[in-house]
Order: sequence, then C-alpha cells, then structure tokens
Amino acid sequence: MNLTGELVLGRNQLVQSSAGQNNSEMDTIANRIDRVTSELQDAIMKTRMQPVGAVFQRYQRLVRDLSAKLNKKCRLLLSGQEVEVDKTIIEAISDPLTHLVRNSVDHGIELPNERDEFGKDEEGEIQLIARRVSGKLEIELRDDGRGIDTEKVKQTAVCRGLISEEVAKTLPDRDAMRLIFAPGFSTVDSVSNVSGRGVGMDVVRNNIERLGGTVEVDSELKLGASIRLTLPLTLAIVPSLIVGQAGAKFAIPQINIRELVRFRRTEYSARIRKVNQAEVLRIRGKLLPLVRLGETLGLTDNNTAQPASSFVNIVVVEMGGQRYGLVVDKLHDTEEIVVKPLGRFLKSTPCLGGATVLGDGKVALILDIPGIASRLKLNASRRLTSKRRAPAQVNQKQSVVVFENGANEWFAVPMALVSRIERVAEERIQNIGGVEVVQYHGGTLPLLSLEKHITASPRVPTDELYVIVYNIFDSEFGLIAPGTLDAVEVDGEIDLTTTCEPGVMGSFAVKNRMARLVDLYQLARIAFPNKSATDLCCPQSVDDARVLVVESSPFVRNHLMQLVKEIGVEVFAAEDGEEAWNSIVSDKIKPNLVITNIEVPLLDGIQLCRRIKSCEKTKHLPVIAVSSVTNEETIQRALASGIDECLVKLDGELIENAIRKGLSGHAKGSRSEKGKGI
Amino acid sequence: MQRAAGPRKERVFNMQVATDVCSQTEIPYATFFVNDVLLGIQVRRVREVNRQLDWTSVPHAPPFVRGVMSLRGEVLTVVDLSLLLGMEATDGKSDGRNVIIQIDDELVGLMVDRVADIHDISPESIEPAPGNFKALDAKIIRGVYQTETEIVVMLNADELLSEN
Repeated sequence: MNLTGELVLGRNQLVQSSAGQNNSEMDTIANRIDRVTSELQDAIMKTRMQPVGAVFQRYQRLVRDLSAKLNKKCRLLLSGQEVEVDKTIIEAISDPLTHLVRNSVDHGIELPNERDEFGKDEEGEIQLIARRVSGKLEIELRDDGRGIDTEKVKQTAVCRGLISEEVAKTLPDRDAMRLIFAPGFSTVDSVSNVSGRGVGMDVVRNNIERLGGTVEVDSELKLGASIRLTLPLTLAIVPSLIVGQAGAKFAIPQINIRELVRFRRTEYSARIRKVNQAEVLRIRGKLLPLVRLGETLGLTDNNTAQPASSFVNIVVVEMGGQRYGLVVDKLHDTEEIVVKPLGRFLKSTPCLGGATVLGDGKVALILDIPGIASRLKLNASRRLTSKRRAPAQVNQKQSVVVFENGANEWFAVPMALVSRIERVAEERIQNIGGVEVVQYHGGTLPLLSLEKHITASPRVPTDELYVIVYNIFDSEFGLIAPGTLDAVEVDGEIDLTTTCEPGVMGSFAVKNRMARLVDLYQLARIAFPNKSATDLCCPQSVDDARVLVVESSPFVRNHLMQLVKEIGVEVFAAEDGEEAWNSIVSDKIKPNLVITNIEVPLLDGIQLCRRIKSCEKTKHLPVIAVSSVTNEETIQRALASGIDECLVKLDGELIENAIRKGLSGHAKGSRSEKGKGI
Repeated sequence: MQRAAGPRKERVFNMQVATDVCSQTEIPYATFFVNDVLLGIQVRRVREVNRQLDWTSVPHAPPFVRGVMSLRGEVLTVVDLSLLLGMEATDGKSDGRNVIIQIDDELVGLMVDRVADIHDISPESIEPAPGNFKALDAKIIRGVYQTETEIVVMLNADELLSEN
C-alpha cells in the first residue's frame, strides 16, 4: 500500500515537471504514465475495498448470544451491507462497533417485562445501517431501548468529578450525552461482564477520531438511542485541495470540504460582515463564521510587495454538523496526497493533521479542520448553525447594542430586534406635529427619543447621531442613539426589578457601567399609542385564555410573559419541560396554549410537544415554539413533532401574532364546545 | 567493533592512547559544530548527513523546530540544535549541514554549522559536564570528552528527542 502511495507521489511529480517543460514527447509519456498509474491505483484500491456486510454479519451472533445471556429479546436488522470501504477502515471499525452493539443490548434494550410495561414490543430492535454519504461512510446504530438518561449521565459525571454540580445544572441534554465519551464513564450502577466497566466509549471515540471520523449521539429517553459514525472511505490516499497562504501550501482533505466560495474583492463588504470583530460570511441567507488561515496559523506574508489577489477565496469546511469558512490566499489544484505523520515535536500542534509530499517535492502540511475549530473555540457558532449543539446557555446569553443617551446614562437594545443602524446628521431631523422624523430612502422614519418616553436625562447634543432602526407593527421605527455604539454579550444577569418602568425591561452591568435594557416594543407602543391601538385590537374571544410559558432563562421568560399579559390573558410559567408537562397533566393550570423554547432543560420543547400531542386529553392544545436556532432542520423537526408555529425568539410582534392565532383557534374550539352545551 | 573503515584508522591513530587500549568498548561518535561548540552524537544514530536545507516551516511549532522536509518520500522534522540547547540561534551559514538521526522509527534532522570528525570514545573517558555549563540544557548532555585540542559535548540522543 505504501508503494502505491509512493507511486502516486512520483506520478504527481512527473506530471508537474513535464507540464513545465514544453516537450511534447515527454508530455505524451508523462500522460501515459499518469493514466496507467491512476488505473493501477484504482485497481489496487478496489482490491482493498470490501463490503461492510462482512463485519456486520458478526454482530448477529453477538446479539443473539448476549441477549440469551441477559435474558433479553433482541433482533438485529442490517442494512447497507453492500457498501464497500477500504480494508483498513473495516478492520478499524470492527472493535468500536462490537462495543457499541454490546452497549445497545446491555444498556439500551430493556428486559422483556419492562418493555411490556412501556407498551413496547417485547423484542427489542437494533438496527445497523451503513450508507455512503458524499464520499464518506456513515454507520448508524439505532436501538429502541430506554435511551440515554441525561440526568443520570450528569449525576454520574458529577460523582466521578468530570464536571461540577453547577455545570451539571445548566448543561443541556445534547452536551450531557457527549459526556458518555469521557474517559472512565458508565451509567450502569453495577459492573457486568458485558459492559459498564467504564472503559469503552472514550476508546470508541478515540478510535474513530483517529481515523479522521466523527461520532454523534442522539437519544430520546424511553424511546431509544442512535449513534452515528462518519468515516472516510479510505485512509491511505486522501484526495485533498491544496491551498496557498503566505507563500506556503496547505492541504485540506476533501472529506472536510463542503464548497468553495470565490468573489471579487470589491464585493467584500457586501458579502462579509464584521460583528464585534468576528467576521461572518453571508451565504444563501445564512451566516457562516469565517476563519482567516493566515491569522490562525500566525503566518505573515513577507511578500507584501505583491498586490493582493483581486479575489477572495473561502473554503467552506464542515465536520460533525459544524461549518465554517476558511479564508485563504490562493486555491491550487486538488491532489491525491499520502498522509505522513508529523514528528514527535509537532504532535501537539493543534491545527495540523499531518504532512505530505507534493508533486513538486516540497512538504505541505495537512490542516486539521476540527482542530482549528476547537483552537478558536468556534463552538458557539456551532450552537447557532446546528441543531445538535444548541444548549440552554444560549438563552441566557443576549447580544445587545449598548449606547450612551444622556451623559453617562447607558442603554441597550437586544440585537435580535435591530434591523440596521444608520448615521444621521442632527440637522436632518425634522419635527412634524410633535413627532421627530427623518427623511430617508424616500420615506419618513419616525424617531423615538428615550428621554421623552422614559425617565432619562436629555441626550448629549452632537452633530451626527446613530439611529437604531427596528420593525414593529409592520412599520419601521428609529431609536435615537446619540453616543457611541457597542455590541456586547450579556450573561443572564439582568435585574428585572430595580429600574423597571414601562419601556424598560431591566438593567444589567456591562463594562463596569449600568445599562438599562430598552423594551423597543413597549416603547413604540408608548410613543405611538394610536398606531398600535389600531393594529392591535384584541379579539374579545380570548378573555378566558390561559397561556403557559416554558422558558429556562428568567430574562426571556419575563419578556414572553409580559407580551402575553398585554394581550389580556392569564400567564403561567414553567422553567423546564418536565415542570411544564407536570403542570399540564396535573390539571393545575389548564392552559389553552403553550409557548415553549425548543431548548429547555430536562424535556426539550420538541419532546414536550410530542407528549402533549400524543396525549388524548391535551392533543388539541396549540404549541408555539420559540428558538434562537433558526435553521431549517430544527424547524422541520419541530413542525414534524406537531408544533403549531415556530418562531425566532424575542421577535415580539411575531410572537404576539402567533399567540393570537393560536388562541383564536382555541376560541373557535371553545365556542363550538359551548355551542354544543347550549 | 567491526566498523573501522580505511579513513577511520587514521583517526584512531590520532587518538589518545588510553582509548586505544580499551578499544573493545569504544563507541564511534560523530562530532559537529553548532555555534562554535563541538557536539558529539553516536554514529549509529546518524542516518546520513546532507546539505538539504529546504524545509517547510510549521505554524505553532516549538521554537527550536525549524520545520519539516521531505527525504525521499519521508517527512522529517528539522530541529535547530542551538535553540534546543539554549544557545543563540545559528545564522544559517552557507556550509551548514543537516545531520539526520534516527530515534526509534523517527527521523529528525539536526541543523549544524559544520561537520567535524568521528571519534571513537570509550564510555569511561566521558566526564560529567562541568558545573558552569549553564547555557546548555543539562538533561540532554551525556557528559564531555576531551580530545587533545577540543572539548566535545556528548549528546544523549534519547533525551534529545524525548518530549522536550
């Protein structure tokens, strides 16, 4: 196999040097050798390819033996056995898979009588599925057993000192599940000779990651668990894209590459946004965090005399559901590279996965795409781009725009509500009938001055000021922000009482100052009472409605409750999904509508909704989900679970409309019931 | 010791009488200069010496690592001995050489200023390093050896490539 690698390298060198020489005879020979080598390589690779079924078959016996030993009933369903992968991969996955299958039978599938109690088929079902997904091998092991009890996982993790108790409390289920991969972990109380010895899952993960693969775990309590392994199809020769940065060449394995984005430097400002020093790329309506390869690797371009390329090259890479864009100087060719390990001094370099010899005989370094992400702590962005990693902490973190109004008086507005920020010269502000407006884009933008509507000292006069533009009631408003603007993240510590008044949600400390959080929605209502009154006439039928708000963050919960109160209905709150479900089934509250965050602890919004919709008594209950995660996948998953409406958090107007819609449905329902009664 | 080749004999001849007597235990050492310090390493560690100085630098690498280079399809790490030993960096003289040594299964290139001689040295004649050898990292030094004119600092190759 190594010889094939060497041959491919030699071929690459030959082709490159002959291309530079303008010797047609030489070119012909090089081309022939090129073709023969490629065919030879294919042939050799093919002899190494084996169907995964060979390994899968082994587990039939394993499952049979194990279930007999444990007095359980299980059947193993195999699919995708014909998928072919490199021999080395087959060898490498056989042990981790054995472990996972054992785990499923031992921990996952319940005893027949337990299964009977839960209303499941006595015989447990384990599925082992292999498929090829865009040049990668995906193996999924799914069982319909008891699933992973995240609470138990957390407890065990605390007991074993893996995490602290405080962390455990706020840890979202997704992250808790990942704890099973920590070294020395097992949730089974007693050690059996099958599994539960606390070694294993970390070894499984290490083995898979060493092959350049990823492990993902997904589980629903009492319904089952699924573990998905993603692996390259072969290890020996890796097709890679060669990129150039500061004169050096780097290889990015094709398995990590999603797409390439290239645009003119002149379009730079239109495509790339800077949010508080973090650069993001707007691509098909989504935001992608950008990483500059040169900066990450600490490379400086000595060749400054050379004019910067007129194109911006971005390699969009992904691993385990997380994506980011890598900004590079140049895109070279794709090459089939043979991975060579780095020496012992370089083992700890975080961004590199190895080295390879290129066609020109030079060494190029192979970029470790997950390594770069973890070095830069891109995890936060993963939470935004992927449903799998959306923990409850996100709720508590609010991005706000902070500005100074009066001297030393600071205010903040939630970033989520801001449509854009404009700079306006003071002289352009006109006063029409007591309302400040500014002409722009051919229309009139009504302006709000904080000191006119809430307790605040008058603004510091300046020649030019910022206007924070936001959208409410289908029309735009501009909030005057005279002083410096700054974008900051606030961690949940919001005092909701001391400074509370209409138009102010609360206060918090930011950079050693107190800032008051402006309730843009209420402010607009105070400033333009007529406008909102016409738009927001309450349907009378919702008088007796009762709404349950499920949200873990006190800040967001209060905000939601306030919104709902204003419609004139009764509001109740629950901090997590379990509490919400208990109060629904115990008939304590009898809500007509549930608003839940998708990421709440214990029982997430989607699971809560499934329970509500599957229970005869509560299945008519409308459920509205709010989430900071707006990706299509989550929304699809949410709608599939029966959630009536899925909304972006803190978008007050949308939430209000959805509540009205949900409640009017309820009103109809209740009316027809009343009709029956009469 | 079956390794005595033609040119080596001459050198042995030049050596101190003491080492000649106990030739049974003599071990050949290759010596080279780094910043005017004469260093020695066991010949059996040395795979080859070449003038290949065309390395690719590695981001985030420890400072004493110059980079990686390809040697007939293998990728090896190039180490600047002067920095590893806590001396001033070498200025990359034109007659610099790359001494490639093998530890376990790994090849490492050592950047040296000039290759000197090969000495057969018996372990007994290696003295502990004088206490004022502060500039050099003590752990990777096996000891010192005196020739008639020079002092050779003997490197401990295993320590050299242990994790820093």
